[in-house]
Amino acid sequence: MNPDQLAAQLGSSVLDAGRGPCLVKRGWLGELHINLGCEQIWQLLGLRRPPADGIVLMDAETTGLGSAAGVFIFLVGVARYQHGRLHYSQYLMLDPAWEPSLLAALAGELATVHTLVTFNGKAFDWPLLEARYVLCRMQHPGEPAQHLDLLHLARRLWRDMVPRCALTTLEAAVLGRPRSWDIPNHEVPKMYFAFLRRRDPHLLQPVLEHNRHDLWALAQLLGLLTHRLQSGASSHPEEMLALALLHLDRGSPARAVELAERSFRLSAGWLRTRAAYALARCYKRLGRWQQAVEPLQVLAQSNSPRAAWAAVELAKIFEHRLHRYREALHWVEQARRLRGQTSLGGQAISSTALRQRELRLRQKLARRMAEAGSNN
Amino acid sequence: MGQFWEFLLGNERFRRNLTAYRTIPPQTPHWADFPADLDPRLPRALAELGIRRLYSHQAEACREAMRGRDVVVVTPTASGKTLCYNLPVLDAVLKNPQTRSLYLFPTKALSQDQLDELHGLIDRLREPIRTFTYDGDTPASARPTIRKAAQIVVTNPDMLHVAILPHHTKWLRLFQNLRYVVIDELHQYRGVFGSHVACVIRRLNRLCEFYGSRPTYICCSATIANPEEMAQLLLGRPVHLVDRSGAPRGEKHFFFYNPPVVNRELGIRRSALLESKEIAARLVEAGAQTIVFSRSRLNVEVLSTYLKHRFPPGPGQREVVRGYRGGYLPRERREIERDLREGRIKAVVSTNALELGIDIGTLNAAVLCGYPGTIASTWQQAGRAGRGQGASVAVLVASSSPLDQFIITHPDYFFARSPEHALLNPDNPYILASHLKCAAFELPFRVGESFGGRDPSEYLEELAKHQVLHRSGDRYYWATEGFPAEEVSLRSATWENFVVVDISDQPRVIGEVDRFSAPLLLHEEAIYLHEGQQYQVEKLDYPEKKAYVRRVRVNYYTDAQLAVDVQVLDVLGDRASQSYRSHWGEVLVRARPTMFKKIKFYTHENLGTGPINLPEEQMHTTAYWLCLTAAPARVSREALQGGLAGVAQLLANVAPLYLMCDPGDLRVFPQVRSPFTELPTIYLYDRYPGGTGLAERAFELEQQLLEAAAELLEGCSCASGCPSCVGAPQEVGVEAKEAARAILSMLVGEPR
Repeated sequence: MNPDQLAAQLGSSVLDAGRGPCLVKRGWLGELHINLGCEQIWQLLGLRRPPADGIVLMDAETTGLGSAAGVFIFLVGVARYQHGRLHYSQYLMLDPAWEPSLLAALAGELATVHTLVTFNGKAFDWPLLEARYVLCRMQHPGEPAQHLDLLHLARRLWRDMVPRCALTTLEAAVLGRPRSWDIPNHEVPKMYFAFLRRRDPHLLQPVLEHNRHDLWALAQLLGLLTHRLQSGASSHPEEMLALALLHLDRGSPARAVELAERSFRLSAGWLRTRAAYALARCYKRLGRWQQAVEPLQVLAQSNSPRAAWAAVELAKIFEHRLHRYREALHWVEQARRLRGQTSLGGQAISSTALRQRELRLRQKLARRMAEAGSNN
Repeated sequence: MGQFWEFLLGNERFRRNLTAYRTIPPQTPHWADFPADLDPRLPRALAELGIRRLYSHQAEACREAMRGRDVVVVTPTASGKTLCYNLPVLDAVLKNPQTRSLYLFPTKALSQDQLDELHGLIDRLREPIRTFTYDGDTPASARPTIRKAAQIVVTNPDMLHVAILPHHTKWLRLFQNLRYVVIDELHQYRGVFGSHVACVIRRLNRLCEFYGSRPTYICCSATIANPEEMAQLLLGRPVHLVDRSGAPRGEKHFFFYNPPVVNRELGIRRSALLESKEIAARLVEAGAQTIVFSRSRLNVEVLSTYLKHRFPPGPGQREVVRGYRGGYLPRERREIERDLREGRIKAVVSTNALELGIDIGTLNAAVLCGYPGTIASTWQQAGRAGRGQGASVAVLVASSSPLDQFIITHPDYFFARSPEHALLNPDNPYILASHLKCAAFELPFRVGESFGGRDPSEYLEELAKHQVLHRSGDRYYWATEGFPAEEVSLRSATWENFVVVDISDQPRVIGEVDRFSAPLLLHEEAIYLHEGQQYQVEKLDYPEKKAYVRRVRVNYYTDAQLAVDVQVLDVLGDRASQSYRSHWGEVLVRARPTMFKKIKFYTHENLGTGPINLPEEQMHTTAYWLCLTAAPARVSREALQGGLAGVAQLLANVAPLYLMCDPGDLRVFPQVRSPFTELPTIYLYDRYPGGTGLAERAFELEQQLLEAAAELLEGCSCASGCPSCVGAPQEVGVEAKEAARAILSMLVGEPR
């Protein structure tokens, strides 16, 4: 079958700018709401600037894993999100000999992109794309102004809730829509190689669909993320905790404290110690020393690797903020007990610092006693 | 410093047991000026290191390399060969910082050492020249920077093969600007390993061409008979040979020492180990910094234990006697090398690990406990002694093995003969095919493109037929999900080592042992010696490749025995002649440790034995075998065994020349009555797992091989066998040469 016949069969058109033919299939993926309006959200996503002119999602299908020289990108799906609607363009390489054509078309598409969204694109799709331009001796388009890799965010939020952070797993676990009819990822290269031998467009139909499905899942994942980031609504203490930490790092400590408190109340065991750590950091940031005591105590008495850290923090708070020296001395004692216990993080405690703190606390206590005596 | 050889000769017992004493005359230095166009910063930096002129060979190598000619430098140990490549490389970087160079060393240990030396010179230059090692130990976080920014990349062929070439797009800067490729220890790339590396170099050149660079190669080799030929085989292009060393050499006193007979009836001699210990101790007492070479790791440990007792360190000081072998941790090895250079160590006991180019300075004396196996290695080990213009001593102490006894009693055989030839076959079809896959993965092949001067179209069509490649227009594209470089290992021995864990207190790793030695050294109840400390193996976790040991103090060490067998799995070709049948096919070579002996220190008496219960090591490979269907004339049943062993040895001696491989790539295995053929049989098998086509080639070239074997036998002037023909009579018996002659005349047809 020649390229025109293949294009007709696949409902696409042929692009040819002198480097051989490349198929492009365009269409409409659907409507959905991605809330990128407010500054807080794009900050939480890790973007430096507001996504001007909408966002572009990208997903590549390849003939193998990694970015070594023998791995080809044969299909790139690009979806533009504008005014609540998602339009896609799929660029398909009909033969490795025509790779430059795909790369040229893609370079044109990517040249105008300001904010690119991918899933694992920073480690996989983008470096592989760069390698392909080098191999074809073509100028590569250069990374867009902003590249948001949802894998990193997904890991932060859902690592504790799903067995592995693959897009399909997240679709089932987080979006609640398992993909049942789609071809599995590892079948994709096999279908393409079969197509190269037989030139049968039916072999590519499911691959094109798979790619569109990935784009749609990516968009939905982004939609869900922006929604979670805005409302903070979640029924999972794991997710609340992750959101709290995200707010603490990139957003408002006030929101972080709210989420961390809820996570701390709702969770138990190992998760509770992690929530205690997050909560203690929130209170510290806000200077709410009295409140920080409870989560720190939980942490100091747990078998978390932060236990030693918490004991030292408690000693500091009681000494410098709350001026309760006896309690501070108690935590110095506890910290000394934890020192050297690697599993509890005790190797970081300096015995000199502990000794100095103890000395200072005893002096302060003595002074206070003397003052109390003279007042009487 | 005293005259150590006079001191040795002063001992009557030493004198009495000498079989040869040769003096190798000194040589005065030949100086040359720095090449005129060398960047002036380099002579200035070298002057700070005390180098004001170059030796003639250094200047010649630099000049030729800077002119863009590929060079191979062959000069003795410690003749300053590293400057031969460091100068052109640094000159190029100084003149243009964009320039890139690649250093290849056969092992990681060597690359580490080279880097230290190079850094020393760069420090004096006070220029920010970015030099990095890129190997399996390079942290992932450092890799992207190294790929982009390193001006000198130090690595090994395995890493080039599996990590750099397949990812060449990430090394854009390197490939676009590659000016020099340095291949040190060229003589290591012999045989099958060398054939692989030759293909890796073709792949490298192909990528350089793609990126528009054409690097100059600078190779350095230890003494071999044919460095020029070998470099040409490896690089696929003519090279300029630099082999006249301008470095000064002191007088060398070379002694052949045969330990005295202690039991005349049984012909037992005193152990080479104990004699070597005595000689080394005497040299150390005379103030000579001494290196003792031993063939086995076990002997390294035993000898260093003895010498440590003899020369204990001062209170609170580090040991003055050290062992050194593969399997010590890198940090430990660096410390020993430094202490040697700085003279803090009086004696070091080593395997041939230190025969390589690791910089330990040069010592006063070398004691070789046992013949190292080749003439080239012997000279190289002896060359470790000889500092500057001072005189040095080398003593070869023979063990009781037949080969050692032959060499020690025939010193002219050694002194008159040139070192061995090193061969490799860059066109071995098996190896070529696997690297063509890697090359096609790296860059699509154009129809009509050559691969290092060879037309690969036949292979490419075959790969396309099997759908590994996809032909479109005038190119072949990679068309599977596989990563071919990962399926091709350049070396026969796997890198997978056994880890030795000391569980006396807090568990800690104290060393590593390669997979093939592990069953012999780490079986349960074995005494594992490390740096003279004894450990007993409590548990060997074979699947996990871990041995758990505990410190002990016992008066013995253990020695394990290995049984080898060859089993035919599939006959792929056979041919019958009048008096014999020949075959080639797949075989299973099985090696199983059977038992171990406990041997008492110093007296070496046997204190008992124990069984070893370990799975056998199996290697699936290919073999050529020949079995006699008729009885050779005038050969008694008793003589047949020696005759077969003799023919096998002759084949082992001639086959590498015809199969273009290294003697180490092949093994022969004669059997008077093979269980498979039920006939007297000689097997010749490939030592690479899976085989590399040597057996099939031997089957094809059988008549030539047999004729060459017969010629070798007839041409050898020895009376009744020597290692160059049928083997030493001590090993194969006095009738072996005659019996082998009878067998061969039957096989070759016409009696000669």
